[in-house]
Amino acid sequence: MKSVIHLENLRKQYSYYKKQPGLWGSIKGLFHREELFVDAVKGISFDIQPGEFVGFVGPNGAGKTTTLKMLSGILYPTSGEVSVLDHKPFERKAEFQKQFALVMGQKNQLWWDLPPMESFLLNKAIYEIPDELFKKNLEELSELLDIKDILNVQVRKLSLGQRMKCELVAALLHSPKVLFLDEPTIGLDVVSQNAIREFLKKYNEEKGATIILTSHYMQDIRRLCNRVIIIHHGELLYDGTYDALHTKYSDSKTLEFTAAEEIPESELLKFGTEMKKKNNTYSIEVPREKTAEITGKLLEKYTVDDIVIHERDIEEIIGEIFISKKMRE
Amino acid sequence: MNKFKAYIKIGVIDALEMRFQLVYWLYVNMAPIILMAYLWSNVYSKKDSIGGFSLNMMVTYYILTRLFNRIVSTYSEERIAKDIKDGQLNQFITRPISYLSFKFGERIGIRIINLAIVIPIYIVMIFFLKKYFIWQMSLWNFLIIGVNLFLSLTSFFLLAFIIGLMAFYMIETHSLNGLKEQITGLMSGYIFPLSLLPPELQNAFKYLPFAYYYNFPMQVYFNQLSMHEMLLGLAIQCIWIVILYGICHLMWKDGTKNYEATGI
Repeated sequence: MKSVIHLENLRKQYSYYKKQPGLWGSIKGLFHREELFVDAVKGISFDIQPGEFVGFVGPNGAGKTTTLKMLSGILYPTSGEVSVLDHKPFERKAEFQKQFALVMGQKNQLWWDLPPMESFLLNKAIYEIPDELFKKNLEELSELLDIKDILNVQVRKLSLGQRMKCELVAALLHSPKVLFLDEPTIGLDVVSQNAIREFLKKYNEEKGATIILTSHYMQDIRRLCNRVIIIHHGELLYDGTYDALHTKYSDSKTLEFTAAEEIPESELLKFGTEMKKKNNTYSIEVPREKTAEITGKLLEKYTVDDIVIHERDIEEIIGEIFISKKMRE
Repeated sequence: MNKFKAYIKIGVIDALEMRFQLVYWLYVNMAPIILMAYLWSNVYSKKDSIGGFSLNMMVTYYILTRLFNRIVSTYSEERIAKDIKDGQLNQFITRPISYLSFKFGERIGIRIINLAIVIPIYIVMIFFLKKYFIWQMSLWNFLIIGVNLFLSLTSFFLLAFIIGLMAFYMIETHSLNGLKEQITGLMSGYIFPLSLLPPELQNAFKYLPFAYYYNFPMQVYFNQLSMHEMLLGLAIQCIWIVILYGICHLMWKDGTKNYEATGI
């Protein structure tokens, strides 16, 4: 299958001016400023296939938003190749723009003082959406996101969650094939986050839209994305499935079990490391490949009431990747 | 064209949403004119004519130029600069929409509502000041002034657009706004009729776009121009619009190319 999004060695360099501190520095800055460069994205490459739901993960300043901005044509790349739906985004052709949408959790496209319906109608004109399709899409989207009764309330009076839902509707009215979401759930409560997550999942599955999502909430990524791309300091750290992250970066699992009898610490440490004990519940960390074997032995040796095998927390793993990366630098 | 209608509509709706603004417009339109009429009637108590203007002409001049101001002036520059600074421009760059025509359409929409309120006020005001007001209007003058006002509206907007786009290159554009206001105020005949100025200056101002905002339509109104001069005036306005549009186009292209869309 032909990929929808293709990046090859994409780079973006920002320039800025260095200002020396203090008044004298400011005065000097009037006449001479030292120009400095910072690489926000340092040559990343990947391909995304139609219908994929990709999570874009990285700490603040990793270059996620910069990459999204290059994909949507806001920024010109400094070098490298970028193509989305066979277009170079920075050419900003209307034909391309009608096929994608960008939603930024921190910016709104809705008219602040007007009800969302007015913004929807404006988008209808901008994207030249035929009446029939507009009606159908609006009906469907407002049903799914449950915003029917707020269509005629001024945006400024809506809650953050309601506003985000309306933003999504506005962005999807023209049935985009590609959707870029920059932290769509930021600042939302759990209920709204869930509603938006459910909606995105459904939308991706039913419409086959290709979606790239950035988020700081690992829940978003875990529940939605079949592929995760991690970038850090503008470089690609990981590109693969969410589950494979475990196998790649974490070589242990945690066994938690409740036993009828008291087990001495020294004995348990023969099976694994980092033993913890709470009443009759024990937990130890064991090597990934030996999990089954050790579980068997434990069940054989002790009267075990209950046993659970935990994967390590993905957030923890990613945190460790970032930290170890930093240490090496 | 459908798109453009939608832009005008959003301006209309937006203006109607701000009810307090509408009351403010009422005040802003009435207060200065009544004050001016009073001031000039005092000045003229000692003289019959100043720079070829009688008291009645002066009052008529002030009433009509304020009305023209309501029609042609646009103050989009601040909003444009704000869009650029806080990254709101993103949504225009990523959608199939021309920012310039959007802003222009929105402006016309806001103006339509503004005028719907303002014109009745002027009719009332002219009625009260009718002993001063000179009423003379031929169909021809009416047409020329109509075309002139539309061209002024366009060139006024393009000028504001240019100032707004300066936000691509500067952090603060307030000082530029101030400069523009001052230049426009003086050279357009808004503050006083240009015939009070030395002839050399008057002549030089003919080649700038500003005089066509207020001084020119008033000259047409008072029948002070020949047909040739009137058409030449409109032609100069058109040339300025082409020049200003060219500048807008280049600045937009360059600005959006280097735009960093704030916030990494």
